[in-house]
Amino acid sequence: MSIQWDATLESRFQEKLERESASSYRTILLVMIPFFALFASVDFVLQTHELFLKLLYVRAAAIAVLSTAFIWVRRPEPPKWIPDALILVLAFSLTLFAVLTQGYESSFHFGMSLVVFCVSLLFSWGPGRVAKWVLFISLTYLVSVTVAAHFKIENTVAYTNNIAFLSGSCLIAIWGAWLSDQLRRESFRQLVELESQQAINRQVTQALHARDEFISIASHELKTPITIMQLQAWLLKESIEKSDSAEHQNIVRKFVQKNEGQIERLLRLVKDMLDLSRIASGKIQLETSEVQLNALIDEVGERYSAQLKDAGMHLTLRLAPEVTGQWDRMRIEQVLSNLFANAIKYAPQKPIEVFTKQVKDQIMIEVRDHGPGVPAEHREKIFDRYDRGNADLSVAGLGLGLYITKHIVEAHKGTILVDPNYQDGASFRVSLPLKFSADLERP
Amino acid sequence: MILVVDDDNDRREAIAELIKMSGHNVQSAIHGKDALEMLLKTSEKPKLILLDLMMPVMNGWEFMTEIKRLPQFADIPILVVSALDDTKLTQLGAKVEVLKKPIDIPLLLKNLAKYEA
Repeated sequence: MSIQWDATLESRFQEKLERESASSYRTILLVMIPFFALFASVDFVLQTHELFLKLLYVRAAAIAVLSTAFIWVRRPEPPKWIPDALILVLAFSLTLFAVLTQGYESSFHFGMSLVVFCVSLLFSWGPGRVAKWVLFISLTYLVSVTVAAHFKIENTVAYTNNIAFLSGSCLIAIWGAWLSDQLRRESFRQLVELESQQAINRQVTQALHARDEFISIASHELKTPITIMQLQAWLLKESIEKSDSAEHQNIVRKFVQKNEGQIERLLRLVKDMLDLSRIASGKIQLETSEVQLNALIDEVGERYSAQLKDAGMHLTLRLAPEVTGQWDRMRIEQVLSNLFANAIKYAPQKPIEVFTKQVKDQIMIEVRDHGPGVPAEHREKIFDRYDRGNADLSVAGLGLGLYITKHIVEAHKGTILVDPNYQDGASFRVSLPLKFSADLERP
Repeated sequence: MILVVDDDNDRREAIAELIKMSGHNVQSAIHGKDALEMLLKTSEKPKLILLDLMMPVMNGWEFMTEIKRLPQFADIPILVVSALDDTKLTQLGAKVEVLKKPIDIPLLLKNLAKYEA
């Protein structure tokens, strides 16, 4: 099992982010445009200087409150009620103080700057951003006032204020949206990272779990032949001690033979584990030679004949004539052995059939049993490392056979699958090219 | 007679041989269902059942549940031979003794000696 970064996660978040971001700017425009349009029309209808200023002041407060509310709702982090309220109260009371002590007109710019500054503070809470805001607001005012003074418009004060204030608050609102968008992006990035980390953690946990389970099964599997060998050794010792009658000699002979069988079993387990690590490190090496497939199948069948007989199974071969391929003989033998052993393990007492069929330069080998079959949801998973299908512990094995088999077949540029159309048990279908290119390295 | 229930051919055979050497008659079954069928068929009631837990068709737990339902066999002592850890073994009944794998042969012989040959 390899650990993988979920690539779709980032793009999924990115899409969501873009959608939210677009809607945030849209909303700003939707709020600001009718607002400005309303007050611009009021300006043209009531061209009274005094009223202008009064309206401007009301307007300033309205924009400040509206924008604050808007950004407040929109910003990614939860609102900080106490500091936010304090800033607003402070701003308005300072403005009020300025108006009361210095008169309405002269305190207007001061108050306006303060309110807008505080609103911007609320938009982009954070010390780094405050400096940017101070600079931005001052510049906007400076530029607008200078432009208005340059053109020396009648009622300059009112118009300058008007233009400066409107453009300033418009820019501020958009800037606020941009900042809150930045914050949102940042928190999304963190979220993506967190989610990915969690996904990786899950995979690691799963991998560790699979490994632990494998170790537990492996030690169980290794213990079995050792237990039997231990029993056999005891029986041998007893038999030798007891007498040298023909009966005991037979027992000795039988258990020495059986002992060899258990040693074979241990060796097979150890070999499988070695293959596992070879596959994991991509070091599966093939030594190709000309292989007569039919002879090889016969040979494997012969080797399994005793086990097949014990399991009450009958082997039927239906082979295409004279198939010769360029393969690693030992490895293909291992493939056949694994498929035979699987059938014996999962479908005892039932017949087993082997078919081969040549299609152009491919040979198809099919091993069919009449056992419980492989459920659809396990058809791909059974080729995974440690997977034993739905077998419980009563079925012996490390869960490595099919994993190794698949890797051997793939190293020969072939394929192996469970035939989904075969309903009467399990049917493993191996397709092998008769010749394959010498590139044996795994990607 | 002692009944050995184990799905592993070689292990079953070795245990059976060991029991035979200790002077008992022995019968073997390859899984729980096989053992039940054997019990119902034979006239001789086993003195002891040596039972593996993890077996195909009918495992050791299922076998123990089944045999409890048959009054004529419910009193046969069972010696479970298992490689499982303690937590899974404590769920077995009080009448059941457990022999942990790898098999402690002297302990097995001591257990067998409790029963008359």
